[in-house]
Amino acid sequence: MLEVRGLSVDYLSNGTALHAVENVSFKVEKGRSIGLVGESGCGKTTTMLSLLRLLPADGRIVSGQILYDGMDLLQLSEHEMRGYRWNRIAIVFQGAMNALNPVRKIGDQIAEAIQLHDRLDNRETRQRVGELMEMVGIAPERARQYPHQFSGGMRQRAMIAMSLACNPDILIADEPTTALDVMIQAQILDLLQQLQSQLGLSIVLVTHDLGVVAELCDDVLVMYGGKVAEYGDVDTIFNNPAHPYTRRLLEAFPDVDSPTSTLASIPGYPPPLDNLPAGCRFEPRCYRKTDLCTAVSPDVIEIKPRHFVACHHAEE
Amino acid sequence: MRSKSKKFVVAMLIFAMLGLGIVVNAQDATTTLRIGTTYMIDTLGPGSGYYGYDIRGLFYETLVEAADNNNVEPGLAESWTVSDDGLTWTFKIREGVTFSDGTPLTAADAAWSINWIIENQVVSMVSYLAFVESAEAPDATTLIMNLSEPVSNMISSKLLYVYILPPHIWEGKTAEEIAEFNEPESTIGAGPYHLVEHQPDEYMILEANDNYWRGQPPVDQIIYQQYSTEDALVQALAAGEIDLAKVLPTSGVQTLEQTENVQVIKTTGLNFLQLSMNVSEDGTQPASMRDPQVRLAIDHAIDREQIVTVGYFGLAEPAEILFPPAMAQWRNTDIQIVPFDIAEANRILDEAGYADTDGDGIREDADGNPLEYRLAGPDSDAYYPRILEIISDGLSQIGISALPYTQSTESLTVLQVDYDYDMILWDWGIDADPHFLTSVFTCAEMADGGWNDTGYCNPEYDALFQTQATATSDEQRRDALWKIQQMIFDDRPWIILVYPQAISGYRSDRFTFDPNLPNALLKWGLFTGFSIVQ
Amino acid sequence: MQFDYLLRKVFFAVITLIVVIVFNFFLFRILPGDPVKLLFRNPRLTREAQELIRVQFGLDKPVWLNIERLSAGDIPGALDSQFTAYIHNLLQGKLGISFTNRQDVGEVLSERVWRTVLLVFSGELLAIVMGVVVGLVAAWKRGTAIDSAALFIGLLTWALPTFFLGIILLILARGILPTGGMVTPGLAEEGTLEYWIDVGRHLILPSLTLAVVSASGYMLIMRSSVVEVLSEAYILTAKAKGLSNARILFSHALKNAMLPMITIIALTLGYVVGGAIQVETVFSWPGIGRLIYDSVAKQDYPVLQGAFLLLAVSVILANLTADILYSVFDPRVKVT
Repeated sequence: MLEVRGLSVDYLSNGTALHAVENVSFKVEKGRSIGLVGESGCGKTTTMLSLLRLLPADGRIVSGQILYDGMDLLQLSEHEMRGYRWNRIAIVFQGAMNALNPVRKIGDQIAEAIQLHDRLDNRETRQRVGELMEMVGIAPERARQYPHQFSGGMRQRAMIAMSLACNPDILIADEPTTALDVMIQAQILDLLQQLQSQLGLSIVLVTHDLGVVAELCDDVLVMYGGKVAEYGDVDTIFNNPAHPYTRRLLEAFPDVDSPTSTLASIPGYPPPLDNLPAGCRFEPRCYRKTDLCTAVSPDVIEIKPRHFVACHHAEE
Repeated sequence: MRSKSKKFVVAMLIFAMLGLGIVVNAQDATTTLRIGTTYMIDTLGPGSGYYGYDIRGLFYETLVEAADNNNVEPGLAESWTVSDDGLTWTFKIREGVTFSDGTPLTAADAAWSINWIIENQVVSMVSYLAFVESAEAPDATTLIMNLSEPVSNMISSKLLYVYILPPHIWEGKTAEEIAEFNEPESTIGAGPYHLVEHQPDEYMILEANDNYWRGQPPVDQIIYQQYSTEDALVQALAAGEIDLAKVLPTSGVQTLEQTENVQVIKTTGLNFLQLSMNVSEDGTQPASMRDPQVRLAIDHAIDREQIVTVGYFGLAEPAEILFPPAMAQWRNTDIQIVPFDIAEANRILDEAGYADTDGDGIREDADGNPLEYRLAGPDSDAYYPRILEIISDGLSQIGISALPYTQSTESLTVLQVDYDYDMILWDWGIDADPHFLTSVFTCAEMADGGWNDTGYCNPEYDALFQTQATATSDEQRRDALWKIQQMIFDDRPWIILVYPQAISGYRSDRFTFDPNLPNALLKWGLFTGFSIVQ
Repeated sequence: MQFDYLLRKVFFAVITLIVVIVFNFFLFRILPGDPVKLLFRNPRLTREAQELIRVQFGLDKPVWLNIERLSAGDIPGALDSQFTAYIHNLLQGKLGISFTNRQDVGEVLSERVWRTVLLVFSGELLAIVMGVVVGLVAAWKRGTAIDSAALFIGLLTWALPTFFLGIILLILARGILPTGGMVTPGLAEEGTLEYWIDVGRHLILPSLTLAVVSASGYMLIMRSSVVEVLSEAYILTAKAKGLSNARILFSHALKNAMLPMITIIALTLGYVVGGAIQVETVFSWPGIGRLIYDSVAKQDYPVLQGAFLLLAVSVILANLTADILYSVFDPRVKVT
């Protein structure tokens, strides 16, 4: 379905290239979901934006491939790329924040995508908007309202409805539950899960919240300092983590059923992009570091089938 | 698509019309003289207007009229005599004159106008009839005016501004109605032109009076167009939008002299640049300013040649006498210019006891007060600060500190009325008749609302002024005026600096004007020194 | 709710107006000097004549209250002042008579105001269109040569004195376009097509000058406003939807970016009747700006009072309009 191979992204800052993402690879199968996990600045948002080529002006994809059904999206023209956006791959941004245009009606914002890609007439569009809103549990009459008249959870639902407007195959969800209260978070996750099975969607979930990943995802990609730390299915990663960083993450997150816990309790900070360590990116914070770690950056190796780790001491 | 391109074509058409437009009006039979000015007229009616005398002169006739070289020529009055005591004036009124609306003008109308002005105290004209008690018309061609005191400048000045108006327009109006009557009919007179259209502060269109007694006026139409700045006049004349500009800035001379078909006229007219010295007894100036020796030293320290070059681009001449050369009839030619002489100025101050006792480069008076003065000028033109700078430089060489600064003419006027200044630079434009100019230095003008800006008050001077005002012969008046000029020169309440040249210009491809005609005399000039280029 | 809001706004507008009316009267009377002396600083005017004029214009009366009569217990006499005459006339809709040209101030203003509105409105409109378009493009092309050029030219024209620019244009267009005034005198009957073409030709230079000078202000504000909006998350959403750059700019960024512009534009248009003194001066445009300028020099109180009243009313109305417009354009502004 969607395969990312060796993706590297740089940001240009005052003439120097900062390596925000290096050599990231993963795969999203049809109907499955993958969680992109890591602390702020680990490159997960950059990776996500790269999938639709939505990087800010100073961002450059320097190498790699993004294959959608075998077609490399990076080779398309900007015009061709627009045809894939939303139509094939849609994004659910943090609707609770400013992802909806405050001066346009919710219904119009949903209709805009439909009319752009599906060329329905006004009546059909209105009907489709109504269906979509019902699908996410919002009364269709509220299409005439503006974002500020919606609660945070409602806005997130509206955002999801909008993302489904053109029947995409892949849904990217960027922190879909952040800034919502616990009850609403659970509702939104339920909704996503239900839609996934109902519509056979593939989901790429970008989050720093392991609880959400455990609940929703089939696979997990743990990123650290712009690189892949560990990649495997949920069971493997949660039960047999091989990378010290993943272990720390899970330790810092003792109760999977308590989604309020955060990742803040690992001592130290992620490396800044303009001052990356020469060896392993996690080395400065690692409890198992050796001289090898300081000198050489580990490659990603498949230690078991479909379980990838980038660590010199992974087997232990 | 089609409607879009149609719109585009229409838009282009409109643009083309705007761009090309009607640049030149179709050649028609009427000749038009277009005059550019920065100020036309205040009120249309003659009952309350104080400005725009040249335009009013085209509407109304007067008994006598200003002609070239500051002479006075007969107007409605063919001739006149005055009794030996100077109290009875008899005028012979021209026959066959009509107002522009066709009604005849006789001596009775002249007598009525004079009495009407006096009775209603018509503010714009009553002051010219000071000491006139009444007027009468024993027959259609005779006008008699009875005075309570002789008036020396009755012909040379006063009667130039007393309009003979049609009684049927003005009769029965109260004094207040007279002041506020500004309808176009208020411009009906016996002059060569009458008003057709008036847009205040924009333009006035005048048409020839076919019944004018001197004959058909030379151009059929005169258009006055008002511009906000003198610089705009320069551009308008260069562009050929106007045919004549009577007052142009010196800064525009170079441009215009290089412009084809524009003729620039430079005349030394009735104006001068002067430095007012505060000599008032109750002013705020340092006491040393009241010492004539200090003022003489200041006079010596002013480089007039440099003022001419830097301030006026050479378009002026150094001056010393109160009356400019244009007033040749009354001008005291014995007075010699005070040379620019720093050494002499220093010598005068040394002798007068002003020494630099504390060594700071500035002299002090006997009480130890430094010779520090405020040196002000108007901010209305760029040459004032340059000239102030020159004066200040000269004074610094004789141990006098004078910091130059400029202010609005309004605030300077207020300062001057209160004698709250030391030295102020002013430009003056004056009448050809010296009466008003010499009145400025009288004690009476120190009263509230008066014109005495220096506080100069000298009984001897006042007596001379009275003599010139009531003199019954030119010789007697000239004698008094020569003494007046000498007195102002010696006492120096004013230091006359330069006589700037008045600049005017016209389109030589359309008209020619006699360059000897002073600028203000358009009416006279139209009938004498003017012709149309075919 | 909406009615309450309007009522309150109107109430405050009326209060403001009353304050303006009173302030208006005293503002010009604290200027130094005596209007009669300044106005008629004319050698041909005797002191008696000056006194007569003073009486004619009621300037012989006390400004505020006749204290002498008040202490004598004569209340109607005490109220015989310039201020009560001013209020009395105003209530009858009379703005008074100009000191200088003896015209009715209401007539003078109504003759002038449309000329000024024509000039400033067309100039500002051009400026707003230029400013908004260039600002939008510069923001979209942020950091490129286009943006730098727009900023450079914007700052240059921002710093360029109106007077200087006006004179330059005037000299450049000499012989092609009229150098001053609003019409060619005697060319055409008012109201005919020829007349309006003539007015149009006279309008080009002054409105262009005004537009060039004020456009940079709008451009800089528009640019920063668009830059801010373009960093908003909903722009990324729009991009992710596959919208083209133009669609994103016009249907998502523009409306949001225009919000801060609305207030500025409404207020600017409120000041339209105040005219543009410099442009009106350079191009001899017979507008309100020149009138105010000249009247200050001549201390023509009635004209100044009338002009400032007109200005105050239009600014108050423009404020009201801005409030209402804002609530229309931005659904988040609750009209409460």
